[in-house]
Amino acid sequence: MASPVVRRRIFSGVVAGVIFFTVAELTGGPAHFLRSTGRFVSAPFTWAVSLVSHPVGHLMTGALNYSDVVAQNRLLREQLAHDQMLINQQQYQANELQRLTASLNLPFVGTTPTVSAQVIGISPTNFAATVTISRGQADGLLPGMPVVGGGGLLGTVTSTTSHSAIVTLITDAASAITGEIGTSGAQAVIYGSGDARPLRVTAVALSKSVSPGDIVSTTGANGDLLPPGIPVAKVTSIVVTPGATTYNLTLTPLADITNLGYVSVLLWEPGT
Amino acid sequence: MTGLIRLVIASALVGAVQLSVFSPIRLAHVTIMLMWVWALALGISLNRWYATIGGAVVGFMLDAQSSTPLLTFAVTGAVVGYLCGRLGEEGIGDLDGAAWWSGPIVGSLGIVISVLSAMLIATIFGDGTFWRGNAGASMVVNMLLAAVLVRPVGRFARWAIGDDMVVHR
Repeated sequence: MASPVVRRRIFSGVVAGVIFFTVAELTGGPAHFLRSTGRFVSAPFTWAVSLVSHPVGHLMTGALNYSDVVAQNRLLREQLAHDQMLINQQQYQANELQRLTASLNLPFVGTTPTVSAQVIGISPTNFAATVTISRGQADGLLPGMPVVGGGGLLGTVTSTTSHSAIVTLITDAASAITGEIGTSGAQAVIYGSGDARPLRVTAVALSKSVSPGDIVSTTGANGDLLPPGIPVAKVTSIVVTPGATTYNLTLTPLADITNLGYVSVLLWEPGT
Repeated sequence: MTGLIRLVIASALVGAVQLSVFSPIRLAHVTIMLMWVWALALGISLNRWYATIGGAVVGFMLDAQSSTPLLTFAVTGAVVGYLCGRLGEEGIGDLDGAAWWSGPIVGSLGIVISVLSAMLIATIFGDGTFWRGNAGASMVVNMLLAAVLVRPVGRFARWAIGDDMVVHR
């Protein structure tokens, strides 16, 4: 027979376990609960250190990337001047695009509602290519929704909290997107290879004509998880192995994934 | 008990520094993993249990912000902290008795084990993509940093947490 102290400990343990699993289930599963709790508990520490370390962090980032920063600044100034000139033309083009979209029946352009979001963080390690954005469930975001910006597909939403979401980029090693290469009609799966590495496509039939510079876009066919017609990447090189019946491709994302500021999330779900 | 509280607070602060300062920076496309250096430094400067707990706390903070399987980095931190703590307790690479150059070597080898452990643990947790990323580059960059930082960070750990937690050798 267990002593009263042991019985009390067992009872307390069982009660604590029941409370933990009940709360965990009510808040979306134990993993989600633990992750949210971890973020909640670590937030004050991160906030306090950020307050002190931001100047240090900026100094380090600036020092490490000084030449990049200068080059980017010059490029942005040129781009700004150019964009200023194009604003009036764009207004006209937007109207034209709306008319063309209606006639071409491209379901995602113009008709799919979008939510703009700011990129507020990148993956804390280089083992995953993700970014955190400033919009979440409260803004209508759901896992699986496509994220675009900078002229092409950036990735998909993989998890959400009420006011933020994690977007897995197309360069992530776990990313696989069905696409169509240029006008060849060749269907391909575009794989990510990790942070800051090119995308790749394997086993494209030799009978399909593909050349460097071809744009690969999403197909949206057969209940695909992404809408059709979103440009993803450009073919940069073609690797043919002697004797093989297929060839492999290396691609570069159309969007500049290394310098993301703002992105747009398409509020699109498969079947809509 | 006070030492444990100091350890958890110091580890949380190191985790916050990792997330706020080092995680946004990429050196040759690699994230500087202060959390691993922390676990290794705790191992050579204090004892195996403190290194295990400290590594787990910092790792859990990283897990909370990451899209990788939950507890991947917490378990990695704990494993690495424990192993390095065992070495430290045997007098290999520790701050007190070992030669000055053995700490950096233990730190560098610890990073190799850290990266391999992270890959293995992530695979066990169902994420096989760690093998396809920048694991090699991550190893090289962090090995160099660990070699430089492990002893200073170890001294900081001892200052922050207390000399009374050093295992009797």
